[in-house]
Amino acid sequence: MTFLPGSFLSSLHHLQHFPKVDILLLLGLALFGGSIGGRLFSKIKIPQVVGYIVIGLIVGQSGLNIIDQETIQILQPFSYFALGLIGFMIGGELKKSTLARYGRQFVWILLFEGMTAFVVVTALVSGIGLFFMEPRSALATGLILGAIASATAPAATTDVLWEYKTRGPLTSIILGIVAMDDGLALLLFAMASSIAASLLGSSDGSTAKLFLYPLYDIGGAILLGVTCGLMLKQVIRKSSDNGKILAHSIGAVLIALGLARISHVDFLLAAMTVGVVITNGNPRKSVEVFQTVEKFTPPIYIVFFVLFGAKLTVASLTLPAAAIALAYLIGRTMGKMLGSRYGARISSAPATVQKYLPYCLFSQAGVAIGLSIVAGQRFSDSTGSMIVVVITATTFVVQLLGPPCVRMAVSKAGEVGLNITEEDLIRSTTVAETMDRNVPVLFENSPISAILTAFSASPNLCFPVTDKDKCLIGIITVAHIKDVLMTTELNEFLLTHDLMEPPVVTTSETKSVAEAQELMNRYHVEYLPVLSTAGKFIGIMEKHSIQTLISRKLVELQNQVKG
Amino acid sequence: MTNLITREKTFILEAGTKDGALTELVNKTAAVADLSNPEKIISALMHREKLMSTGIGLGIGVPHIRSDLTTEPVISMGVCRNALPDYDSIDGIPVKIIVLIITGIGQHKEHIRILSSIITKLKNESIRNDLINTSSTDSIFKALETAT
Repeated sequence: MTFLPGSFLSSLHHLQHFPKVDILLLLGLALFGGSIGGRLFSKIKIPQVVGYIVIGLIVGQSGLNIIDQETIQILQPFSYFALGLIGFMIGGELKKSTLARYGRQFVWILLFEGMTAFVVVTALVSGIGLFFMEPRSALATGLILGAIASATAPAATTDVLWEYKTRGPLTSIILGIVAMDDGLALLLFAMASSIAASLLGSSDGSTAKLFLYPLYDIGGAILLGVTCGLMLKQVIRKSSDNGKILAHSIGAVLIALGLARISHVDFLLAAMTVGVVITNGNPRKSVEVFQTVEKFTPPIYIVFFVLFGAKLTVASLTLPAAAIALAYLIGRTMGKMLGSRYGARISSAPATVQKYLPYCLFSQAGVAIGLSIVAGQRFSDSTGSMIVVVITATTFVVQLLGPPCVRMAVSKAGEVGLNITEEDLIRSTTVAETMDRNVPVLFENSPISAILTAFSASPNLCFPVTDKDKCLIGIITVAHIKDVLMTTELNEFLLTHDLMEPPVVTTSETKSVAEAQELMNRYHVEYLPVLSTAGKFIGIMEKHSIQTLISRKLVELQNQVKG
Repeated sequence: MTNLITREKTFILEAGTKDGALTELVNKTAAVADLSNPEKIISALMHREKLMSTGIGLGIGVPHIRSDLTTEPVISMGVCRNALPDYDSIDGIPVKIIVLIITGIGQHKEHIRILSSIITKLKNESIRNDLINTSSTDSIFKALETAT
């Protein structure tokens, strides 16, 4: 032992202090368990995000406590990162054209849904509060909870939109509203907490500061986001490597998040602004940027929602807190529904928005919890702790009920499955939908003239050769016939049998186009004969026709969105 | 044509029927060429003949297949001692000269090129007559030499 240097001994000593559960193991379990939970919920037609949160609840503080308070605290930057990515992706949806098209509707709906929720919650909570507390406290609690009620959480809502690939007016309006109503919530909260402080006699004379803070919070975040967005735009201008684009984009989002946290400005808004700058500053490049980042995000989101579920504590609700929580829930739901419906109506939003937007704004999370904690610290008496308990309990409820409502609304609005890229279509389309069932079939003894007739009468570039039982025995391609055209003296002696080649690879109609393409690439062929389960020939897939069919489908989907 | 058919792949065929002559030619070819499974070759040739006779007229038969039993073209010629009336040629003339062509499964171009070259050359009447009147492998090869 005397030969061991002191530093080595001290590092050995350090190794004895392992954390209770390794963070990497925890992340792995959260990701694995979360995705299984998501898949199980998806099978029963409930958005996967609910599954992630439920898994979080099971392993978190309200359940098995595998993920405890300390771990959640350690992983807090990870949640900021996930929220930053969500913000960045939402920002990417806020294109100039969308804002020009729905801008007026955004403003009206935002004002009405936010203000109505504020007014209704304030009235209801204050009213119910009168049964349990003195009038001033009841009104103060009502005002603070009313302000918090106006916020809508983007994460769980947008996750449903992305999971179901939605596109259309309702989707655009939801994204716009969830992106912007935190600003309104901050302003209302500043106003409400100032009045509440006066009511409760705890005003510290910093009302001006309280009103100026939201301006600093929002303005600072936008400034930071614009700076980081412009920096990213410049760096990726000439980059075509997806790996580098991803690294630069994530880097810019992280810088925006870090600086926002240091400067105490809204980090979500900062990340969102980075997205807005990219999508509007370089629209063509932005498609590549957001597609690349999107592929990177699923595991981050899963862990984020699992951690979110783990953080929720089902507090032992007292009767007054339960009554106020119920009043808050009812008031917020009614306020959001009535306000968004009225806002949509007076801004002449499309019928689907008027009808279904009211079901899409229930989600409540980070901003609401954050504001409740601020209120808890500012009003350190029973009002403050009541607000924290009510927001935590109601967040638990709305985060579980909100996503299924969004799913129901977007599917009734007919927007599910319309936000589909070429890649998605290739993955989701089956061979059965794209194969050519009417390709002319040749037989072994078909003469050259029959092959030439087939080529001249159909757009196919290859033809199956089958026996009388429809079993595939070969393929004739344009390359085969080309050689014969140069040697016309052979035409009367040759048969299809002499020119065909045995099928290199076949597929079945249940396979996806992506799988079929992968087979074509692996075997270097331009076609795939499709066989039934009984091994009979039923159609052919040609590489050149896949592109045509996929493009046609994309145009059809775009027309549906416009329609 | 000697660039396609070497001396050791020229034969006089004794069989008096189409099936017999094809079997004899394949077996004799397999004995001198790199053909591992003559039965399979014969079976493939018979299948091809069932689809349509390779008797192209003028007393010539050109049985030909592409097969995974070879990677290089194998070409041989048999002259029948007795013409084969059952060859079912397109002009009905009994077949006397048989050229066997076996190419690799992927040798699509080579197959067509060889087939075209042989048919073109055998359409020359003097070469054809030299071959029909031959009685030994030496004279077959001599006739082929004149056809180059």
